[in-house]
Amino acid sequence: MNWLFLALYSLTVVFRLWYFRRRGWRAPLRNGERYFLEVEVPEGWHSSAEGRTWWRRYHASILAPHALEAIAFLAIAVWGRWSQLPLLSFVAPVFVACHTGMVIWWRRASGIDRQRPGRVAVDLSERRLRDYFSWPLEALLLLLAAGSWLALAGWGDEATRWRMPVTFTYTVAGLTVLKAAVARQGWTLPAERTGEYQRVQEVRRRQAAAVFDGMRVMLAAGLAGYGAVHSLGDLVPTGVVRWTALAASVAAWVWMMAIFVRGEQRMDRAGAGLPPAAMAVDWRRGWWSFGTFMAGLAALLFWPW
Amino acid sequence: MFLTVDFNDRRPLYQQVADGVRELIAGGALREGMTLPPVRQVAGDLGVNLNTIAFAYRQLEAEGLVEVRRGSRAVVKARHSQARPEGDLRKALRASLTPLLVAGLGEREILRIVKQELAAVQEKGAQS
Repeated sequence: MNWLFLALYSLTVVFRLWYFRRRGWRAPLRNGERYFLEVEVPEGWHSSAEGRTWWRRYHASILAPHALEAIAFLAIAVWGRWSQLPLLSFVAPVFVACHTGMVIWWRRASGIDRQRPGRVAVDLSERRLRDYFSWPLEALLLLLAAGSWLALAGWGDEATRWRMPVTFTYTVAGLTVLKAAVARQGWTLPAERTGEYQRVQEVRRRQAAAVFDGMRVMLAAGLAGYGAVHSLGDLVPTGVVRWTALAASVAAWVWMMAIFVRGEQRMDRAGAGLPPAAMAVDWRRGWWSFGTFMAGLAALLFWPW
Repeated sequence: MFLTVDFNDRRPLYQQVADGVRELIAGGALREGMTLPPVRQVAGDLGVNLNTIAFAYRQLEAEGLVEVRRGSRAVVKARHSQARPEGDLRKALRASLTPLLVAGLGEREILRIVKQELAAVQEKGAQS
C-alpha cells in the first residue's frame, strides 16, 4: 500500500506547488489591489514599509506549515516508515490554523474586528441537507466501504492490518458529519447587494461541500484499493490488482483536484466586482464559531491515529 | 428573500426579527404555507442565541401569523394577524407617531412619511 500513498502524495505535492504559484502566494489580493485579506488599504500600501512587513508575515504563515511537513516527510523517508505517509495530512488543519491566525492578527491590527457591523441581512430560505448530498454518491461510498470490509473479513490475507480500514472508514464517516455541518453554516450578509453576496456565500458553501466529497471519494477509493490488494491476491494476479487500485485512486484524485479548481473559478466569477463581505460579519462571534469548528475537525480526524 | 437587522438599532434583536418577518408577510413576500428557516439556522447566521430567534417566532405565533412546528420550523399561517381590538392598533400607531410629533414635524410631513413607509413595505413584498 505504501507505493499508493507515495504516488498520491507526490501528485498532491505537485498540485500544491502549482496552486501556490498561481494563487496562494498572492491570495490577499483576491479582492483587488485596494484590499489586503479583505480589509481595505490605502493606495500604495502594498509597497510601503508596513505593507511589505504584512506581506512577509503572510508568506511566513503559509510557508511554516509546509516547512513542518517537509521535516516530517524527511523523518519518514530517513526511517523508511512509508506507511505513516497519510499522517502528513496533519498539514491541512495546521495550514488552516496558521492562515486563520494570520487573518485574526491582521484584522486585530487594522482594527476592523472591533467594529460591530451595523445593518446586515440573513437569508430566509432554508438550507436542507438533501440539497447538498447526492444520494447516489452516498450509496457508492457505502458500497465501497461495505464491499471492502466484507472482502477483508472473508478473504483477507495475513498481511491485512485492520488499523488501515478502520481509519479510512472513520475518516470518511467523520468527513460526512463535517460536510453536513458546513452545508448548514451561514453568515450575515451585507444589507446592500444582498442577493449577489448570498450567491457568493452559496457558491462557497457548495465548493466546501464538493471538496469534502472529493476527499471522501478518494479515501473510499483507497479503502477499496486496500481491500482489493489484500483479498483478491489468490484470484487475480497481484500486478493487475495493484495497477487497478492505482488507476482508481489517481482517477479519484484527479476528480477531486478538478472539483477544487472549478470551484475556485466559480467563486471568482460569483464574487467578481463585489467588495469583500467581511465587514458584515461580527468577527468577535465568527472567530469563536470557527475555532470550535476547527478544534472539532482536528479532534475528529486525528483521534484514531 | 432576506431579513435585515441593524445591530445599532435600539430595538432588541428579537423584536427586529419579528418586525422584519411581519413586514415580509404584510407585503406578500412571505405567503401562506411558506416556511421560515429553523431557529438554529437564523440564530447561527446572525451569531445570536437560539432563544432570541425562538422568542421572535413565538411572538409571531401568538399573533397568529405563523405556526411553529416540530424542528423549530415556522410556517406562515395567515397574511393578517388575529383580529386585535382597534384600540390596540390605534395605540401602536400613536406610539409610532409620537416621536415624529416630538421631532417637530408637521401633519403634512408626517403623512408624507407614513405614505412613503407604507409604499416601501408593499414594494419590499413585491420585490421579494
